[in-house]
Amino acid sequence: MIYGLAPREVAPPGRKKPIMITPVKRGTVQLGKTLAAIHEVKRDQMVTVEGSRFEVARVLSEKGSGAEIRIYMHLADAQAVLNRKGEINEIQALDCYCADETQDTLALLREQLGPILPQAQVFRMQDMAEAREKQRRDIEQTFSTLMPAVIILCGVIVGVLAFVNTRARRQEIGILRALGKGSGEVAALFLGKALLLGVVGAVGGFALGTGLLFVWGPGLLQIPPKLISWDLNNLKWALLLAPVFAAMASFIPAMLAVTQDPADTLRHDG
Amino acid sequence: MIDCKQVTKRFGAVTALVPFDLELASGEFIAIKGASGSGKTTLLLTLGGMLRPSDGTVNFDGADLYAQSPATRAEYRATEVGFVFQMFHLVPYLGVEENVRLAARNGAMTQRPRELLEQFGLGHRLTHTPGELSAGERQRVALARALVNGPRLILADEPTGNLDPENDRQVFEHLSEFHLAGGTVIVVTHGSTADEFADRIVNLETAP
Repeated sequence: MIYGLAPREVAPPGRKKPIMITPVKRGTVQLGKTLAAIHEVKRDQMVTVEGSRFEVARVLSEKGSGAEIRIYMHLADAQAVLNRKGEINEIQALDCYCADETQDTLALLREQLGPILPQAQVFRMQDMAEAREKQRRDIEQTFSTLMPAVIILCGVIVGVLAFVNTRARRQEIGILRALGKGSGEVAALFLGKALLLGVVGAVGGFALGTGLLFVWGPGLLQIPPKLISWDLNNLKWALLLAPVFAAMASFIPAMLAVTQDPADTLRHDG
Repeated sequence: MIDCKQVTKRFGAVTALVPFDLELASGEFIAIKGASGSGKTTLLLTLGGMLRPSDGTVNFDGADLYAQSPATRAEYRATEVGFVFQMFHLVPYLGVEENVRLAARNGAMTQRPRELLEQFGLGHRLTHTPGELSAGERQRVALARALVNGPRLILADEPTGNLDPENDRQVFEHLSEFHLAGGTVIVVTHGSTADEFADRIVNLETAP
């Protein structure tokens, strides 16, 4: 069974989606495992499909489905070998990310596609859709439970560290005040440190988090490996939010530092 | 320059400083002596605008220090006063030059910290941290820090309490140089070296 895959996916307007398919280069094919085994074909070998020669770019892993006996190739190659230039017979759309529980997305899609593609049959790949929906909900549930706890825990840790730091630097605060540094400068010192900590934490957290996701994401959270990447968008948000969060957590210790009586520290000097 | 009238400090039921009067003209060098617990440090901090007295007034150049805002008192400490402490109070993780620069008003730009440190024989120690210095060297760094903004008044709290006789004398010589250049010095001390340099000795009474 020959499948011609379009060279790229079309993301919904305004959304940048990770690529779900593995693109196939022109002149190459990807073979289902059973098909490759029957014909004793391996990667990098040449095969003939409908009279045309193709290089085997990949033998797919065992799927236990119809994919076992498929040949995947570039859409243009498939149209050429099947003599069906410009024709397609299937559009796969992933709707679970856009699903609105109040709407029947299938009916909506039929209504919208009807005038454009009157011959097209629109139906749901129910098993796949449900699997993806379940996966999405599982991830959302995990994160909605985990995230507040992680955020509160991180806030407490940053706050406690800032408080301990303030205690440890009492003498330094005292001397800064003796040197004529005002409350604003002392507060800026502590909040500045918190901001710096936030920036370092954002970069470190992004690296560590993404790294751990690569290792444990597919197994523990059931996230498809294709969805895991070094997404700089996450880094951008981390760099924006982590310093603000760290500064907020350090606010009380910073205020304590500002209101601390420097004379009290220096008076017990010896 | 400084005029204290009936300055008293109490911490709860404890009287740290009994009513104290002091008039100090610009360019004077006075040593304050007294038994342990007589409130010498408390007095110094009060004069430095850091510890509000329970009673009495502290005037600097005719203005009541404690009638002014904390920001104005901070400005007073930054521009008019240099503090020197017995325990040096240097920032342990900063280098010698950075410690002095920390106090400098235009810290990043000025060459003054380096000049002072070189003048005090610490030119070869600029990048060393306080932990790598001797007690005498640390106190000279603290002196440089106190002088970096060109203050008119030095308040020194037992500046030689942790030093050997040689360094003790050296510190008083530096204070004397500042005094001879027109500066005003108030030094709290137990030792006798100050007697040689001070214009006046003031004895503090211990609270009953």
